[in-house]
Amino acid sequence: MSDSSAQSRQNLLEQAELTDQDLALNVTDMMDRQIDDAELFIQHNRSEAWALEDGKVKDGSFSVSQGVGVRAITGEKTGFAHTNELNERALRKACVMAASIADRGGNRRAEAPSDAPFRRLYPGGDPTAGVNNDDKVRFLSELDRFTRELDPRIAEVSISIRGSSDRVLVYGSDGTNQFDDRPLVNCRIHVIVKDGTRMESGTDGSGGRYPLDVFFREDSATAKDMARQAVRMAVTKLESVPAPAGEMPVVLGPGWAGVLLHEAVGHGLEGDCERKKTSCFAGKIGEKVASDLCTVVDDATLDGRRGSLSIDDEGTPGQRTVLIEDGILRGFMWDKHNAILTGNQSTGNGRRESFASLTIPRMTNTFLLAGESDPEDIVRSVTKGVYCSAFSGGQVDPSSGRFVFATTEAYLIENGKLTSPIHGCMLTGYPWDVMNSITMVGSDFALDPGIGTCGKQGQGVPVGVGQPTIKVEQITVGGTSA
Amino acid sequence: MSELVERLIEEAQRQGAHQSSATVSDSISVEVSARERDIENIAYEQGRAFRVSVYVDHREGTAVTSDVTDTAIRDTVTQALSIARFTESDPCNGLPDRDRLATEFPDLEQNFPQPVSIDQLKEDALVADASSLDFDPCIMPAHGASASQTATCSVRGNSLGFINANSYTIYGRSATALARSEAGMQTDYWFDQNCQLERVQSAEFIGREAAQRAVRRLNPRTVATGTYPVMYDRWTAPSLLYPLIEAISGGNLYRQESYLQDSLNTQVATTRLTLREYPHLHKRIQSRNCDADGVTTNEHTIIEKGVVNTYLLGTYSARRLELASTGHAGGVTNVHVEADLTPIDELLNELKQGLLVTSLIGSGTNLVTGDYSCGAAGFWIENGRIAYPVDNITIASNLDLMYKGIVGFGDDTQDRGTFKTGSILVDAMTVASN
Repeated sequence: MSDSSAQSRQNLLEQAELTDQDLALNVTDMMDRQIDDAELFIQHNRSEAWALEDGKVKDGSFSVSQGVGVRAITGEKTGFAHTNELNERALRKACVMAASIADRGGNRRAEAPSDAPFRRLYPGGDPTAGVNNDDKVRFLSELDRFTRELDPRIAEVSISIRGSSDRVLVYGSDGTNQFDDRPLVNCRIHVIVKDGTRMESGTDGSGGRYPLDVFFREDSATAKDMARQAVRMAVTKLESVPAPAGEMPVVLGPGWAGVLLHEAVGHGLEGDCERKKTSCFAGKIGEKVASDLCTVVDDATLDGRRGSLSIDDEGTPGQRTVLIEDGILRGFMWDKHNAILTGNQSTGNGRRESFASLTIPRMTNTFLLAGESDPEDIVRSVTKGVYCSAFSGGQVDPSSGRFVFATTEAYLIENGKLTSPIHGCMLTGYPWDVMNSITMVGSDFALDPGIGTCGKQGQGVPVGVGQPTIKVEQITVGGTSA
Repeated sequence: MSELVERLIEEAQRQGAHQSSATVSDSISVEVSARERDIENIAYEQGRAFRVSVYVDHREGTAVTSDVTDTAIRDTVTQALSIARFTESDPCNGLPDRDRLATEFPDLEQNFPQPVSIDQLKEDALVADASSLDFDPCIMPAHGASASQTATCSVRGNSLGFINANSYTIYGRSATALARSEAGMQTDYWFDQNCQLERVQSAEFIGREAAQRAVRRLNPRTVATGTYPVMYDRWTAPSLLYPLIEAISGGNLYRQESYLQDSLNTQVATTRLTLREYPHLHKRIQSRNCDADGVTTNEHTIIEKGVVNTYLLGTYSARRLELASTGHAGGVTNVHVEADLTPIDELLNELKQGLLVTSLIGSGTNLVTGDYSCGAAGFWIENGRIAYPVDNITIASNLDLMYKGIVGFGDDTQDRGTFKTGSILVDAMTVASN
């Protein structure tokens, strides 16, 4: 552990009015109550946000959330208690409550704590520290002015910037003793345009695990690009026609469209689905689940990305896991608990929204690797279909596998060319149908801009998605034009 | 806790705020889940959070923390004030006018605390899980069932002397069932919650209902893409009505994020539809005496015979629109569909051939344009009867056409959440399928 990281860890413990001895003692006491595994998760999250609307920076907020979550595992059972009161007495009480799950013998002892080395993927410390409040306000106002000048039809602009630092300490009876200091920032812009009686909206944003001042550099070049994108999207949609309805070929553009992979296969490959046999992929390792062109990975180890994790919320170092290789199912994403129960190893995918939530297996950055097709050839190959470039999100029912995702920017493809923009609509399908009908994969791989949040069992965590341009031969497009 | 709110406001005023408001909430909850006829998780939760908003010359700053030590209180107020120093002045910012603040707080009977009985919660979770598994051989042990209880107390106050404490309990039971056939798996769930434990549906019923809903979805077919009448069943009907509420809510109106700009006193839905709100119903989790700003809540006819009778405004959005707050900071409470109800069998007969929606997935509503597209599953109706389950389809239209195209309301009323409604029949939507 680096000096600054050790200092940051020490500060976290001091703020919590706890010592390393308190952690060791409470874990030992829990193990004495015949628990298989005990774990403490101490967290301090500081975040601030600034928002502009109607030309004014009139909203600012600052929040601190801190607490401890205690987990006691015996076989398949989990006892969990959390509190945002931080001191030895509150910790002890939470440990006793969590350990009350124990109902049968187990004589394990806590292992000596060891902080296994891992690679740091992002800088520690407060990502907003490098910018003073005057500059934040000026940035928002200038970006607002810049945006409004892009088109006379702009009726409303809202912009927000947000930065948080999240410090977590994981201490477990299996010897885990890890600390991580995770920055997270984003900038979002949303515009409404009006032409006569027609109104449309456009959005863009970007973010990741890096200092907030990235947005302020080089005359705010990144932010200005976002503004241009949002305005272009909104203005384009003013001309949009009703989306078609029914099954047809769909070309998905690079980057954001990776949300398709996230929904279609990602959730079904999370280890809890495999253990409980609730996924349509359960027990299918080694089987063909997608076209030969598809290789899908989950990779927590990308520097500074929104979904990246130096260590996961159980202290396991972030990893790159191949999920599907050339169409063959290769692996699932595991947290410790589900991995142990099924004889697997954690892949560093144990995540929780906060100390107040139970750890479950989750994705990090999940994407489809590049292929060899020229993106222009992909569009040219479609006689009649739809091209989608932006999405607002999706959802999946992992057991049937059925997924949906909503487009926010899409076009008709007619005789190999993009023609009219179409209204936003839902796409829906089953993973095996869709993944096996991916017939072209482009060479233009891109990750999303870094503003994705994935929800599962009521817990939201930051994630990344990505893909090159791909062609899906058949998928149901949920428009109104039958 | 009232004392803590007062201390926060005092501290804010002492540090230079012209106006301030504060909220403190405390909650304790326990949730037990069971799976494969055994206890899976027991989760205890205990949390306290406080939030303070300060105004200086109509500039606003907000800070939230869970740390209630004296130092933390002082620092949090300082943070809020330092933010207020950098934000721009907006004449619409600030506390409500004094005469709009609620002064009477009759007991709405939402607080029915019971000592936590882990054994009882375990028993409930086990019974719900077992009754789901026992319902049918095609039900597989998968997700299981849970039982929970939560007690919350929140106190809200501001520098105009307003202070209100509100305590409520929530008891809940839920089950998720997975049914398997050779053609594939289907999942469905059921839940109920209430402020009174004895009014929550029994664990046995919850488990059975989840299982029955999953089983009836097995072996779905597809339908030909086309335009058909669509009935939202009574459980999905609230999600049909909710965008209408959002489209006339202050925040979306002043941000011009609604297709219902300038819709006051205009026809936005069928003349058959009246929506009336009852904020003060007793023994309802959604009920409240005042909104999130402390403004008195009142009964409102929101939609009268399809015409917008009132927007739904909080203090800030009302000022932006140069109107008066309607006591809707934080949203609506209990909204009842008041329409001529048709017996549900007759309504199905009226539908003749079309789609009965029982489950929706994904959010594909564009409030700015009214464009609507959503993933759906349910049953195909032939001659007014359920013919077979359908899945993997989308339903699409435009909210304006949908609300004006409502042709009937079923008498199968339910009021589990915000809306009290039965099934709702829409004359035509595009159903897309593979």
